[in-house]
Amino acid sequence: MIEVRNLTKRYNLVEKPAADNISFCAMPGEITVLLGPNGAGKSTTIKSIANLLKYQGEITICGYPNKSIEAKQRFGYIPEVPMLYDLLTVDETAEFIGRAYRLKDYKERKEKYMELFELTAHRNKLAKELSKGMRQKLSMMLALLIRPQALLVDEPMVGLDPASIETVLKLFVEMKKEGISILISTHIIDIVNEIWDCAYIMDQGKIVRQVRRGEEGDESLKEIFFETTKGEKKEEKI
Amino acid sequence: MRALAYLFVRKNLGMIRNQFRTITSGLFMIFIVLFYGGMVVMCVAMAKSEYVAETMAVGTNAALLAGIGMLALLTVSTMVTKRKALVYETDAFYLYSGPYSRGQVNGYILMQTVLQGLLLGLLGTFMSAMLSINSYFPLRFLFFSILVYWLLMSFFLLLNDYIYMWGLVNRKYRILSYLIPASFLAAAAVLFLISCMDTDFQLREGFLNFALGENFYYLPFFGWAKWAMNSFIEGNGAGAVLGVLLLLVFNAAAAVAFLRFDQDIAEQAAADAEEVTAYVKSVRERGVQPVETKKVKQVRAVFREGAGAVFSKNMLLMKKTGNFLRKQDVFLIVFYFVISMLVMPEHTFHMFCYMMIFWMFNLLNDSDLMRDLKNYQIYLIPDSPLKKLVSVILPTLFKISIVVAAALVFAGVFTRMSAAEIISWLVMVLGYVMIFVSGTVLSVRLLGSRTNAYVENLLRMVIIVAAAVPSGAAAVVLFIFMRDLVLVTALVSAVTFLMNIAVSVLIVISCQGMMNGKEL
Repeated sequence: MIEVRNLTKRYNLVEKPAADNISFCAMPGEITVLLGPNGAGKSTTIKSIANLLKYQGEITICGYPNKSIEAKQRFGYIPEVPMLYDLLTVDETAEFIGRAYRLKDYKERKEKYMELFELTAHRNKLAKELSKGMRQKLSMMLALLIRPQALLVDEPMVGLDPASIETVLKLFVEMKKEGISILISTHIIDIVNEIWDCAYIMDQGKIVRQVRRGEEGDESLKEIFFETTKGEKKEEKI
Repeated sequence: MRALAYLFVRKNLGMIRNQFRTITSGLFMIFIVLFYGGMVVMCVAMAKSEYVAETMAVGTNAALLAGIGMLALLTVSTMVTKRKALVYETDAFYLYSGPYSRGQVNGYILMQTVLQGLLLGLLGTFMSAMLSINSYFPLRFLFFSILVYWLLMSFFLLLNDYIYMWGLVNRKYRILSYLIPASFLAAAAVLFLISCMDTDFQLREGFLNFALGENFYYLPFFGWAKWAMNSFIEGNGAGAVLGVLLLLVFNAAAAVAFLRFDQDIAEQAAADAEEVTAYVKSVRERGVQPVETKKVKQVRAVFREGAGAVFSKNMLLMKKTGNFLRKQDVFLIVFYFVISMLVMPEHTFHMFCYMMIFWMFNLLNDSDLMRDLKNYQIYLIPDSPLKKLVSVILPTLFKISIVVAAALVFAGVFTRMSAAEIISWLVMVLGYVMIFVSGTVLSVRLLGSRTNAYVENLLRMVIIVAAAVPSGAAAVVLFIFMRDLVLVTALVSAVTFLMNIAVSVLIVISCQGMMNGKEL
């Protein structure tokens, strides 16, 4: 579970907070999506959860403070732009993560994900030799390798081809069935339309609406999103 | 052209504005300008405004040669570098896809080159000023040297761009980028040889003859620059004007040739701009220079567990790239040793030790250390932040210590120093290696992504000075009680070493939180 309580983040010299006292929870066995237009505060929230920013408030992962070793052991993070060591091969990168996280039985899992993400043929290639999509797949594999109980995904489908997007979506659904909390931040609603369980819509640093699957009535998540975010803008203009 | 001139002005103003985008970085920028500007003002204030050849000739000429020498090194490294481009990627996109004639594009690049020449000119002046505290360096000479160095560097930057452009048209012209620096070096070597011949190959006297004599003036551009400045100092107006005029005429000729260049090089120029931009970005963001894939060796990977995996990973990367010691570092170390031999033949080893500390300023700015200090993947590793920080800094610490130790032992043996003295100085310099590494950690901790080479160096200087206070005090106390200089030197080395270790450990412990990411 990823739990965010009263998160507020202000950047230097910017009067308005990028995240303004927001609270939400990504439950185990659910896919939670964080939606919002550009500048809504999604990236700030994601970086705060990954403990990459100073903030006010409390963030826990599986009940542990996000900076604790216990939280890090249970937490997988797939950033929008993969951060890889250019001169390590695919195999070496996986080996590095496996050893750094002291994983006991990761080799079998590594092979499974290599196969799934079509990385097997590229296992001896340096990270810098991989295409953009392949780098993204490797980044995903690293996050999954640690068997996270909470997975944070920032714009997951950037750079992936349609077949890979399908594979990743199926994988997320499988993981949720295993009881893993998955929090996805995106502004491409169509991609998560089939798999989401709970959605939080952010605008101007605040969570302006929470929707659970089944509560959306006749409207699609996309319609709710536009209604919520455009409605705010109209009010501002008035 | 007005649009490009507007872009040029706005872009440069934007760069200045960017330095003040936060209070912290603005304050740091003001501090840096005041610090370095203050050093120049101090030099101008302390230096003499009247030139007395008998007492100041050596100091003044050495300062001029240091400035010219540094700019010559920059020129050579700029010309022989393989990665070249006229502009960065964004400029290339707008210049080559926009509605501009080739002349206008060249004009824009020319403006950039002249500005770059001015900045390098300021750097050369700073170098000369720093070495002129006890000799001649009045305000009027400060401005004159800026002008001369500016003209000197503008010419070579323009020449470099011009050769690069013709090299895109036909690869055979690329050889000029190597031939020209080589011929200058050969000419300088011949002049030095002649100076040595005049003094029966007494190195020190030969060097003095080279530095003070007029043979050097025959070396095109660099010699003319020195001729102009020496003439200015000696009150020889005609020589000063003629020297400047020579540089000015060649600058004008280079500018005309540059502006009239009319070949279609857009495709390759844009591709090179992209490559150089990616290279610079990589060095700035991750502190690492991209390595060519074909140069990466195959090495068996063995990783330790937990934070130790970071150490193993860095050692693996070092083995893969064979990047233990770069060619330019070997060149610099040898260069420093030769300079030490020439300037202080009786104390070559001691001067070399100090030169190695100076070398470290240059070395650490592009070390692999920066990459890991800013990498979220390291932050997320579930291990203690102190262990992670130690694992990140150890490979760099080992690498620099081994290089420094090898260089000092070689220099010590070559200059026939006693083993005790070599060890004593080695211990002291190794203490500084720790300070340099921890100084980098502290600057990233304090400034995060806004850190830059100037701030890092400034912080290192402050830390070094702070750490040196106790050993300085200890030296005075020990000398008062013991009156034995050799023993005191050995004890001071030990105290400096211990102080540097203590300060480094303190910095590392207090900065450990950054390896969780949040505090950056």
